[in-house]
Amino acid sequence: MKKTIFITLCLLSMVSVPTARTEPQPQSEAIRFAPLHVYIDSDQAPLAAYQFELKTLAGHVEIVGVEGGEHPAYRHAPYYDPAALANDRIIIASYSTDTDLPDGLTRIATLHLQITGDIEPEYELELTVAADADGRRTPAEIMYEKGETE
Amino acid sequence: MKPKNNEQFDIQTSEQFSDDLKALFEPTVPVGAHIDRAVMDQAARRLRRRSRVPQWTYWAASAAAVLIVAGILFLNDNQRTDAPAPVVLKNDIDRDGAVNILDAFALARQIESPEEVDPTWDTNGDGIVDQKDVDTVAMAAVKLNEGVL
Repeated sequence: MKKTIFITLCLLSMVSVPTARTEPQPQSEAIRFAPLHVYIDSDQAPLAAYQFELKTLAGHVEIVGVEGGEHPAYRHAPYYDPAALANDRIIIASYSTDTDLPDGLTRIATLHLQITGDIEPEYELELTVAADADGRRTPAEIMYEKGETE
Repeated sequence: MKPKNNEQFDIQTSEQFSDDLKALFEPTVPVGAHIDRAVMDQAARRLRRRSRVPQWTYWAASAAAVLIVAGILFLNDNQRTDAPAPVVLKNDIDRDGAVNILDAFALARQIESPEEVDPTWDTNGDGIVDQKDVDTVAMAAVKLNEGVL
């Protein structure tokens, strides 16, 4: 009889262990929202088109929105793959056939990010192409600035 | 058999092994030393004949190898020059081998210019080359490649 009880208890403990493991962990990680401003410096060349790629290197980040830049030629929302939303990598591009184009340093886009956890996010920006009004590739620098947490 | 035969062929064996072999193959009838020597001489001659490879065979093998390698290189070179022209990517308007925003920009400039637009740039297949085609090309440029993440 004792043996039967012992075996039953052993079996019950084996069954209960995986159940305990599958219980959901309490959500304790903080969520905050922050903008990320992206700038291009095309020096003296008028910026008629650009394309860049942004990747998250550290932290848990999801892209929740994309908006245009400061110059009227780039104020409209740029092109991006909607599949990149809720993701940590995005390709963004825009062009303008306007005669009034920005040169020098200009903010071309702002990304709105959802950051989960305490790890400070780090990003990698790669400028795929920048072009002048004639469609010729022009050297330019790309950089970002972290905005105030909302 | 005499021990010096083992030394002649440089065979390293243990004494126990030699004794066992002797016991196993010891002739039942007495064999004269001259017969024993004759058998050993004939075996040695045969072994020498087998190991003798004419020098010219090495040269012939080397020449054949050089010809085979040269043939392979020649065929590869011909295949490279006969290779078909690179395939033009869909939406690659400026034909630079990559689809990016410059393709959309080139198409947008063409649409806005008074010149007639190339009908092959109807990328969405609706029969008209217009802003929708520019958007199609731009969206192709920013599309995330599947499986990269």
